[in-house]
Amino acid sequence: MNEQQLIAHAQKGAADCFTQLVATYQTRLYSYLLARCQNSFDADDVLQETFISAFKYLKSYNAQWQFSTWLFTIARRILSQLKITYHRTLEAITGKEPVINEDPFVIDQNNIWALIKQDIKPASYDVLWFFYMEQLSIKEIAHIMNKSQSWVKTNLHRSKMKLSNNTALEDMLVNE
Amino acid sequence: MIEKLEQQLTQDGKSIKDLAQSRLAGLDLNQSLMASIALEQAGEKKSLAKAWWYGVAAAISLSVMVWTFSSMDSIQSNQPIKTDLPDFSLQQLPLSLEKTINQPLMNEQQAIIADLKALKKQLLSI
Repeated sequence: MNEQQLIAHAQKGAADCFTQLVATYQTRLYSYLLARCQNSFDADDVLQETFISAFKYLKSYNAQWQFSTWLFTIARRILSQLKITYHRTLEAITGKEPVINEDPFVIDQNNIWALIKQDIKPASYDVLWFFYMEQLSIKEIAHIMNKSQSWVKTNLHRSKMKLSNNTALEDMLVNE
Repeated sequence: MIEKLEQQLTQDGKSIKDLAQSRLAGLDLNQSLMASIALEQAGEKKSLAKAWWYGVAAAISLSVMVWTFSSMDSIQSNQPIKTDLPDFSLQQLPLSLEKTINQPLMNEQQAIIADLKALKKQLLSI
């Protein structure tokens, strides 16, 4: 069965076809979430929420776009909601950030994706990830970000310029 | 510099993908997903079963409303209420509202005020 057939069957409620789709996309999606989230616990939650939402709203999937594009769109929405609830819960309960100890799947702090997180905005981070790691087209990225193609191009260019002017990053790249 | 940056982004991204793969190997995602999906489907079925009752309730309340309005019409047609107000059609209402309803009322109001003034004069003259 090809992907379109799997999607068609899953749209009719075939859970086994959906699990095949999950198996195909889980690594790509989880890599993005690991890079984007503060810890693997959040990434796990968002991953699960994304697939549940995908199954729930599978009928609304438009085959004009890649299935991965649709999944990334859902994941980004859930991430933004998580950020809101995370902050609200924090303020309401403790008033300070929770310390998550012993996370075995946290990204190495020398990894460039961890380093650039402080320098660029989350939206720019996403654009970089989708462009370099997912190799999605500008059109697909614009659809995920709900922005114009020119916005994506400009954002990509500015991010690269900003990062290339970062002296700490430059030192690291020279030493590599 | 940009070339090096791009290379580094791709290279380090691959190590994140490896990390993700190792994490997913130990994570029984399918099982937990299936459990959640089954819960969702059960919830949908429940809501569908409820939707049938909502439909029946809506139909009953609609028929009651229709019956009430139709009986109200029959009462009105059997016992017409006579008023001094002139007849007007609903379509003419916005344009002729002032002339047909407000003007007679205003006239009546002016007449009452005049009567009251006259009474006041009479009382003061006594």
